[in-house]
Amino acid sequence: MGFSTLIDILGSTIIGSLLLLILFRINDAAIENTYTFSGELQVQEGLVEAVTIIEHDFRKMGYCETWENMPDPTNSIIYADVDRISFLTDVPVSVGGTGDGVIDTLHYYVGPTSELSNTDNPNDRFLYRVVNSATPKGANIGITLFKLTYFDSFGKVLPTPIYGAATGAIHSLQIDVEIESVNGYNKQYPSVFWRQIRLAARNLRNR
Amino acid sequence: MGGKAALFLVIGFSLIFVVIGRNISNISVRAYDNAMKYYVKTNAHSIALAGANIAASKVFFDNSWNEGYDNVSYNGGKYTVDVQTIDPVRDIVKITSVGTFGEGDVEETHTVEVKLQPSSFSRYGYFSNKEKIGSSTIWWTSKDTVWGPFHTNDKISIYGDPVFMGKASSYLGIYEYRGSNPEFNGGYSRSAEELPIPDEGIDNIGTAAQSDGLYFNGQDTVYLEFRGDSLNFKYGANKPDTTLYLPNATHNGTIFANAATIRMKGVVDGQYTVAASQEVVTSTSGYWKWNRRRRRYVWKETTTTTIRGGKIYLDDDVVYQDDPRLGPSDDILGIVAEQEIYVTDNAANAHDITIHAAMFSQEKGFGSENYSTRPPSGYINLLGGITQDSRMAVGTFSSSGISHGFSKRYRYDDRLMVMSPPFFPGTGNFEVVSWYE
Repeated sequence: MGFSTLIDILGSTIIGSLLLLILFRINDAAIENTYTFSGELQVQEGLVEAVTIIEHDFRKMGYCETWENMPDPTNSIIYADVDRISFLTDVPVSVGGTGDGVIDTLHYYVGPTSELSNTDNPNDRFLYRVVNSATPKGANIGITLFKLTYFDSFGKVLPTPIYGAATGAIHSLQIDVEIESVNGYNKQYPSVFWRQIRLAARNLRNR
Repeated sequence: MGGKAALFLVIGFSLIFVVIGRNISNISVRAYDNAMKYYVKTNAHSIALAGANIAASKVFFDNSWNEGYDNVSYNGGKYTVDVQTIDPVRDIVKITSVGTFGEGDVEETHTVEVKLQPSSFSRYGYFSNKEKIGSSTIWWTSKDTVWGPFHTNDKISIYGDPVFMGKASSYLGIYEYRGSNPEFNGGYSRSAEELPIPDEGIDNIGTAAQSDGLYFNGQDTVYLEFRGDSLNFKYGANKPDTTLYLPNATHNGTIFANAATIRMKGVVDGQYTVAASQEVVTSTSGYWKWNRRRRRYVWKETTTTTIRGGKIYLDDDVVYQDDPRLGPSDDILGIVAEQEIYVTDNAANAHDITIHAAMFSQEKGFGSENYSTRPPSGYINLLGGITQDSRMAVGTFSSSGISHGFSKRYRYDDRLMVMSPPFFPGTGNFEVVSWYE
């Protein structure tokens, strides 16, 4: 084995190592991408589910299957704040039902970030959807922002909180939702943002 | 040996990358599917909404329209609308609109259900055709709080900070005096549709009373005293009463005095509408007048038109047997006059009057008799609503308080949102009472 052979071995070892490093790097990048894309998919799916439920519930403000039980839908909103709302509606008791004719109170609010300190993401929090006085149960889909803005019939922003008779002035709402992945690769959390610019619950303007 | 290892390494990594690549591609497809699903759902929802709105508009313009639509192409999808009368007695119409968007696996349908009922003027806490007495504008001031739905076909004139607790609307907009800040707690619609008071509102009650109600004819004045489930009536202040058991006397709840004035009071148990119609009487008279040019007397004829009847006087409290504010009550009263509805200037009303009713004055308004000369008489405690052609006065005020007549304590009867006195004049329109989407 001569010097040139040694050089060959050393050279091929270096090149092989470089190739291996490149492969590892590619592998790492592939894993990161998989992680990120999976996270993005998760937040997107979570957003669609959350938004579908929120839109469905919010559009039903003031609705009751037995409409006579809701004499004045104008005052269906009980309390309205930036990150919290309570309103009267009719929550169906069966899947696919339109309601049972009994007025329910539905509360939406977000909890503090400290409730989800065990997750990787420091900003995620529970979004609570509570029917009547049921025990609050939250779903962690990575909500980091749940913001409500209220407008009167002139399109003016109403100062919050709004409660009592003043809630009758609410004509439409803007809903902002942001969801981030609960776990991120290198502390990078994929996020999606959704805004319903003007949601007008039709029943609020009935009669 | 080294070559084989390198080969395995390359094959191994290639496999890993193939799996990862497939995974990433899968994720992309799922993300696209997810976005597409929301897009398709949203479109199906919008199409169903469009179908419901189009059908509701049809029903508003033609109350008997029930043809619906079958698979109408709209915005890349289709809607099918079914229109049914689900309560023939109350004429409640249900519109079911099904919107479809997408094809195959990504097809979504969405259903919107709308219920409509004929709209009655009784639902208003306050309704007026004109916001003027003569040529003087009536201002809504800081002292005013209006409960229940509010509408005027005129302009709302605001001076100060009045509060409108229910939904408010006006046909001719709003005028706010400098510095005014009205509070519309139920929202305000500034260019609402004009809602004319119908001419045949009273006539319909008369027709109903003739067929299956209580109908008075050929009298100048009819005195009515509700005594729970019975009614005392007479045709003169000093005449004897006749008593009727109301469920037998009027099956449809209408009590009607044709071309007469009604004077009423009492405690109401049940659901009734009391109405008084007017008669326009034209008389001709004349006299001889000396004509200088013709140098002889000529006959001068004048035609005078007088209105007979059509007024309702509230001689004392008119209240429900069961006050709805204190518990369940199915008592409801409509007071409908072609002319004025007056709080009588008498001893019984010298200290407050309580009225439980939805009132309707077709050509005039609700006011107090001799409002500017009668002594201070306390409060008008109204539970119900007022629909009138023109606003009328119930008292006069000075800086020290009430000078003559009454102060107002008007509260809306929330039940009027969902129920109406029998044959109470309708607006001729339908209103949405329930919207599910």
